[in-house]
Amino acid sequence: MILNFLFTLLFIIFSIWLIAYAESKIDSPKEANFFKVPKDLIKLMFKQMIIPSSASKKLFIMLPAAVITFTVTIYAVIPIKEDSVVADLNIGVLYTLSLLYLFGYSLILTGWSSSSRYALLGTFRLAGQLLIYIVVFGFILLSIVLCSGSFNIGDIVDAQKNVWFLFPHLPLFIIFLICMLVLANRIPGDSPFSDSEISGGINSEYSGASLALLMISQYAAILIMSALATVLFLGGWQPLFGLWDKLSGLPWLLIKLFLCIIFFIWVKAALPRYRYDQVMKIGYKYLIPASSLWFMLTALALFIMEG
Amino acid sequence: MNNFISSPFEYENEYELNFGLQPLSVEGTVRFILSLQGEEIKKCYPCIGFEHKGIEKLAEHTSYHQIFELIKCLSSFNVLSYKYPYILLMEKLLNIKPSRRVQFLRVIFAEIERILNHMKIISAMAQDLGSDIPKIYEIKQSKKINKFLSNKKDLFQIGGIKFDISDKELEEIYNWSRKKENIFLNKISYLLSENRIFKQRTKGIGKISKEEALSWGLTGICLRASGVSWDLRSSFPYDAYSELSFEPEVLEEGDIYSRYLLRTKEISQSFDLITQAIENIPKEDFCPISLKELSICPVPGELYISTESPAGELGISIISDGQTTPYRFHIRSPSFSHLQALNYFGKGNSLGNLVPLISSFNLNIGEVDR
Repeated sequence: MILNFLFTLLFIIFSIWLIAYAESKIDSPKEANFFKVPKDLIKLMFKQMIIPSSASKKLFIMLPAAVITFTVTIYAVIPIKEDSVVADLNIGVLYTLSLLYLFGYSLILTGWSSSSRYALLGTFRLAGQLLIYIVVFGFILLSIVLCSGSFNIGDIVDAQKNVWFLFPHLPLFIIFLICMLVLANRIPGDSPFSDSEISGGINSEYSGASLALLMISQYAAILIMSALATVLFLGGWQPLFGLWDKLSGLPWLLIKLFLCIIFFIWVKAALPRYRYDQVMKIGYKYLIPASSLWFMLTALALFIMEG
Repeated sequence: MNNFISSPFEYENEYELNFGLQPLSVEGTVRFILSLQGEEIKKCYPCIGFEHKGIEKLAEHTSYHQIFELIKCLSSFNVLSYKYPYILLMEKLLNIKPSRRVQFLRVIFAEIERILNHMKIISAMAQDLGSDIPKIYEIKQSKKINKFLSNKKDLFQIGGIKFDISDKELEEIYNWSRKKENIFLNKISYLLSENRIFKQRTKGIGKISKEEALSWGLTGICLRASGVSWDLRSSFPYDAYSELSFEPEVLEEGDIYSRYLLRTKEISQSFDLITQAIENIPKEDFCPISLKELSICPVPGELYISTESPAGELGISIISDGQTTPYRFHIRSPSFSHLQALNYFGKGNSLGNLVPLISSFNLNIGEVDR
């Protein structure tokens, strides 16, 4: 249990480091250095934190810590290998969903508490996006829960022993990929943090250590969404069709996780961002009908198959 | 700096937002005071004056050669193309006819600079929209081009050019332009031109009709993207442009996407022009100009000459009273008319549309605050 916890923590720190390194590689290919990330972090920690006079100070200081706590704690329910997980919760799916909500709400409050117009615009954009995409995420979780018959994430992984959910649920997986980009506030769905329109949006008033926390929490969100993609669709620690059985467990999990993280970085490098109303349009017009329809189809198929 | 919004708010829940320095494609310092209702722009006031240099007044007390140094301050990026109208104007005032080789060389280097400028605007526009990769290819590509332009900031002189360009160097430029080897153009063709998100962000947005473009005094890309075939290089050809065969590129839609597309088309057009110019360049009639020979004291008169700079029509007007300094010196800058039109074209758009709209106008604040 304690070993699991320590390992998970170290893993999170190391992956965030890697993601931040890859980010800086895109932004400035020549200056990027693997040890630049901790250096930047330490520098930010010792910088003066500027608090706007009109901000509500307690919330303004406390919320970045809350944001990062809510993201990282989701990782507690992700199993590393068989029967090896930090928290073996029977309601693991509901736990992730509620923590994702809390992550979004605390981000909304960060924007609200800094009482700047840029941050306020970012807050409204984030609130609008979150409202739709969490619902889509809920429909995706429901379909998966129907198939596996359990709310426990360990059981969901076990149910994918023969066939990963990726193959029967391919359209749902594509919806999940879009949903994942928006929930982690990444390009093309990062209009709440858009730097050219609202100068950083929710982050715009933050500086010093709390800015560092917010940045880390965004990278942690990438890691969490990749972990969820792995667990829900790519079979967690399970090998593909029983191939390389000896590597089942951590190596397979790592391969899948890093494929998902590469997807995030690849998308950021290649695509421009959507306008705010276009993100909303995709959510309301296409994703909610598609995901709810798929949920009903799954239920129907299961009903017919089980007689 | 008195252009703060003085009128009271006209709409319900209207508020002000300071919008400045975020768009990367704007060269120089400017800020906009936006009046927003939700995310819809109701007013968009540009606040200029952060870079005011007083060039036009200073020029009345400086000799004609020193004005060169003042014109350099107009833009940190396009040095050669901003000197171009002034050189042509002085040559006409003094009745000098530069040799044909000089005329061709000027065209070649002005076109190289145009390629650089268009690439910069496109990549900055992509960066404003959140895509960073075109910038990296632009840096890679412009390193190659800057090799041709290095040590040539003072190349253009009244009556000629400062030093001859060797055949070896011309051959290098020829090989580069004939192959049209431009990683940047190849990459953005699928990173931006065919990109679904980029199209959705730019197609049908910021539309400018023919009449609007003409009445707001837009020039250059913004005018040609709205369907007006007006390119000073072909309609009033100066220097060697009359000996090159080309048609101005024109698009009809007049939205942001067509302005972007026109820039990519003009890059390949400039490649053609450079290739043609090097093919037709006469070998031996270069005489270097020594500045001491020219004690400039033009006859009294008034003259206006404009050229097609990368941003649009850049004109210089001089009233001379026969002395060593001009009586009146005036610059017609393309960005000035583009900036004042932003309030009209920005109205009714959402905040997200304003950024690509500003990027597509190719604003250069150095010439607005002159």
